[in-house]
Amino acid sequence: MNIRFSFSQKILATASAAAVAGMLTLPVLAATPAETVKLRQETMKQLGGHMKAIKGFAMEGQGSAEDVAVRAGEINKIAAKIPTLLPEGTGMDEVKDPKNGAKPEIWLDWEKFLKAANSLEAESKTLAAVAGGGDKAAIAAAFQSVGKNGCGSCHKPFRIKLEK
Amino acid sequence: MLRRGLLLAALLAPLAAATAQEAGQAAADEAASRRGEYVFHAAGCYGCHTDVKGKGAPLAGGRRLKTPFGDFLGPNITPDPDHGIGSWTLADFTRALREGVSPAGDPYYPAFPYTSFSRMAEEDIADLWAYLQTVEPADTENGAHELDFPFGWRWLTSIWRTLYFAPGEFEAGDPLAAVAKEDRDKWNRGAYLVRVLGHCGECHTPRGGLGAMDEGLFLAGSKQGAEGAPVPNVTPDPATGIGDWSLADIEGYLKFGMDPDGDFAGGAMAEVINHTTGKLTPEDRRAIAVFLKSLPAMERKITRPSG
Ligand code: HEC
Ligand code: HEC
Ligand code: HEC
Repeated sequence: MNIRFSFSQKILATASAAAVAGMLTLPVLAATPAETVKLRQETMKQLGGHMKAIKGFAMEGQGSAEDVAVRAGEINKIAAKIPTLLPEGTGMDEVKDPKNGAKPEIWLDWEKFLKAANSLEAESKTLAAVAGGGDKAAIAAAFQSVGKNGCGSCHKPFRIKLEK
Repeated sequence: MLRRGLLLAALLAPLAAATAQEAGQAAADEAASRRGEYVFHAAGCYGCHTDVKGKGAPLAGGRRLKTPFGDFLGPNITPDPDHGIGSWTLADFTRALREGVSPAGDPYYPAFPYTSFSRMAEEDIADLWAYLQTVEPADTENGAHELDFPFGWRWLTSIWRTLYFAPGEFEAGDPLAAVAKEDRDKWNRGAYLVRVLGHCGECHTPRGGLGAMDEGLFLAGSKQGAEGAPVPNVTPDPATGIGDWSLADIEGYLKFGMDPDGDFAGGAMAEVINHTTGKLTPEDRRAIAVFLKSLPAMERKITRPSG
């Protein structure tokens, strides 16, 4: 049996997640579902940009450990915001954007979805701390862990990669 | 007294020789099982035979595999004699992988990807068998597949096999001219890893009405692939495939899941990366990348299932 959260419960959950990051949820909630989808895709692309840059340092020695720490901090802030970008009614079956890959499972198991967002928050925090230490091998390991246990743990059950 | 000692020595000598022989055999078994563990990862046997969600024991079965024909349940392949394959011989095991037939002679459903495994090398099968002997036996009973009418009739599989299943040996091919000279030796290894062990086509190649892979569109993507979800085109078409990925991009993706945009793999591929490609040697990931880059580019856009 799936436990469906009521909308108000979910706003409460998203609001508290946003409060952690010191963000206001109102602008997102006021947007149309289609706008929310666009906004979250842009936000996800920002995450991708950060991870790409961090890989450049961790695997190819480009950039600096300080830059990694700053980017990990940005990822950490965005992670707290993710649930607000996925309100009910913006899934792939509701907003028929050819790129919308937000699976209905998100709202069938909202608790697990929040856990995945929390996991990215925790993993990116660790990466920021490790980057402060400057040990390259440790940074590479923490980076891969962000990818697998942060990004991957949510994309695996909750997202379908569609056309570019 | 002395006599007794001599007698004892005479009695023990063959025993010592036997022990030395056993030790040699044990070392050989261990080496085989270590190689077999690698084959096991490369072939992705774990995922379909382990109920990770239900916290089942490794290889004890129960994993639900959703297909257009209904749900299959991966069976127990631990060495348990009653519930697993503990009473099988290597010959039984070889026949299952290469011919898709059970020890009793019943055909397996192609949800067990023997269509790909059929070309597995003899020595890889023997090593894999040695490794499976080292897995903890589990007495988990096999569940029945939950198939839609009329697919529940196993004998129908015989007709399917006549139409679509061509067992045989893996043949090393001629690397295409597109492959860089220093990479040509890797090409054949890559072809074996992709076509046979990794069974990448089982998800990435589209299927016809009866579930047979359309070889003309090898790896060109499937709208209804793994668990009904779309699976991308991984031929080197720049617009609809991965033609704009470098060899290093592909290797990195297969190791830890990041694509050239910094996006991370999800769905069934996240599992493939965790259990299979992420556990390969860098040389083998390189071989896969070389092979993928050499495929004919096919322009084929994979859209969402509901249009
Ligand atoms: C809690 C869930 C969750 C986490 C954590 C998460 N994502 Fe996503 N991501 C999604 C969902 C859902 C989509 C699909 C959104 C859509 O199609 O509208 C997505 C889509 C994307 C996209 C595609 C955006 C586009 O162009 O349409 C990128 C890139 C991406 N994510 C990168 C990342 C990276 C990098 C991380 C980790 C640093 C990450 N994501 C972490 C849920 C998550
Ligand atoms: C894509 C999923 C999948 C993968 C990968 C897979 N199997 Fe299976 N396997 C199945 C299914 C489903 C069956 C049951 C087929 C049937 O009932 O006709 C099966 C059946 C078997 C059987 C027969 C068991 C019996 O009791 O008769 C053996 C042995 C086996 N698999 C071994 C392996 C090995 C070894 C590997 C890796 C090389 C592997 N499988 C990879 C899905 C898979
Ligand atoms: C069980 C099904 C399955 C198998 C087996 C499988 N894949 Fe995938 N693959 C997928 C899915 C689903 C995706 C889309 C991942 C996502 O949503 O992020 C994918 C994505 C990819 C991509 C990225 C494509 C892109 O445009 O983002 C590559 C490269 C790839 N797979 C290569 C392989 C190779 C090589 C193998 C064999 C070793 C393999 N796959 C086996 C299901 C599978």
